[in-house]
Amino acid sequence: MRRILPALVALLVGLVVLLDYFLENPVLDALGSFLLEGAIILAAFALLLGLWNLLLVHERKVRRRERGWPASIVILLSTLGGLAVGLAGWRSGALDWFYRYVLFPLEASTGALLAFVVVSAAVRLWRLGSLEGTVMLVVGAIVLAGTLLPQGGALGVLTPLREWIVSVPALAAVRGILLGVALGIMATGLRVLLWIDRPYE
Amino acid sequence: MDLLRLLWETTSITPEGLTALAGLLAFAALILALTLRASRVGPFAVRPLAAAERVRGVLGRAMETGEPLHVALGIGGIGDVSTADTLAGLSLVSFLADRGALAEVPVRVRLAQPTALVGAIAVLQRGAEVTGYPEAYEPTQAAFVAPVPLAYAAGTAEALRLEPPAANAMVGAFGAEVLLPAQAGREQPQMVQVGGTSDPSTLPLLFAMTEAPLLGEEVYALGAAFGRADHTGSLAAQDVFRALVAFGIVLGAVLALVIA
Repeated sequence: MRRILPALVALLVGLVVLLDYFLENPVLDALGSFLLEGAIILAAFALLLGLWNLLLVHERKVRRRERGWPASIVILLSTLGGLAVGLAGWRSGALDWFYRYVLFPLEASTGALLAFVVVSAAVRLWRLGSLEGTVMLVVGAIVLAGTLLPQGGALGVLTPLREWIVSVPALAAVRGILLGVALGIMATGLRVLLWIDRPYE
Repeated sequence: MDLLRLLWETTSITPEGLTALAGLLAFAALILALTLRASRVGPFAVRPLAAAERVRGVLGRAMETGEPLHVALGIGGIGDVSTADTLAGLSLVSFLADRGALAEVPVRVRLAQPTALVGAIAVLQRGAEVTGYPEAYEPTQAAFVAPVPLAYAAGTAEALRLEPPAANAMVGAFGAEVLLPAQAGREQPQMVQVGGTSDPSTLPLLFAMTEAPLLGEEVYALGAAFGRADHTGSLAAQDVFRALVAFGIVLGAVLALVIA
């Protein structure tokens, strides 16, 4: 029973939501909306589990004095502080201030680091010396130059070349990948519906 | 009966919806038939995936050194648009949880969505129970890092630097932020690093930063590559449908040329 009941529930819910997507019927529409709203509420409860897990992981790190434990203290304090401010003073605008002047700038700074890592990845590709890596690097350089450099004179050829690369070979490759991905996503969903995969057990 | 008749009378479907539903049902029937065939006659042959071979290979080293194995499940969850990618990552976690519990190799999972955390905890717990070592499961094996992509990536990168694993597998939904944990992995010369996602814009980054990238649909073949016979059936069904779609595209292009 412990195995069959979740499987039956998953099968029924999956079928109703799937049929609701294809068919127009007021009863199915209402049932489908109800089930989707239920999923959203369940996901909100999962957030509580996430919070509990975060506290547990970092409390353990601090207690065992594992490497990097001082950072765990900062994480614990900011999580609990954010929670307290959110619960006690959610109308005060303190959380808005924190988001605007602390979190967003921190996120933007971290995002800026990605540009340097992309350069590092390009150098790594060049050093690997493989054919695929070299082609990727050359094509990337052409597309970048065709986008950023001022056009005219000898560089005039870069813009049409960039347009051709983006709209013909790159688009064809992306469509090929997306076709395979779509089939993979369908197969993954159908495996759950057909009871071949049971990730909820 | 009256209720069924009322339901039938109030139900309608568009011609496009009918075509899509017919295609889906045909695909489902093919998956079912080929999965049954795979379980009765034997699994279909699967092309070896370099990433799966690397992960398999590093298990022995992890057993000797006691280093953990790390899986980054990405920024996707269960129940959103990236569910399939997250489930693909969880099939890798499932394989490692089984082998890890038997070989006393700790498996660490880091993720950005609480719904994925529920799945990861279930898979890790089941792996420890099925192999007869329930004590091998620890509640902190799966860690929720942060729900924001860049914060998740920064936290995962820092964790890889603080506790370098024998292997780092980044399989799930990722964007450009994957570069941060990937770079942290590159800094550890002994670490085996593999990655896979279905997002075409992230694939070049994984191609550049990992030893064995899983490109696009290869992510969904991980279960079959790790020896699940029932997954080879759906993989064969995907191949049949892909060939049909490719044939349809070529035929359509030729007909369009002829008519023009």
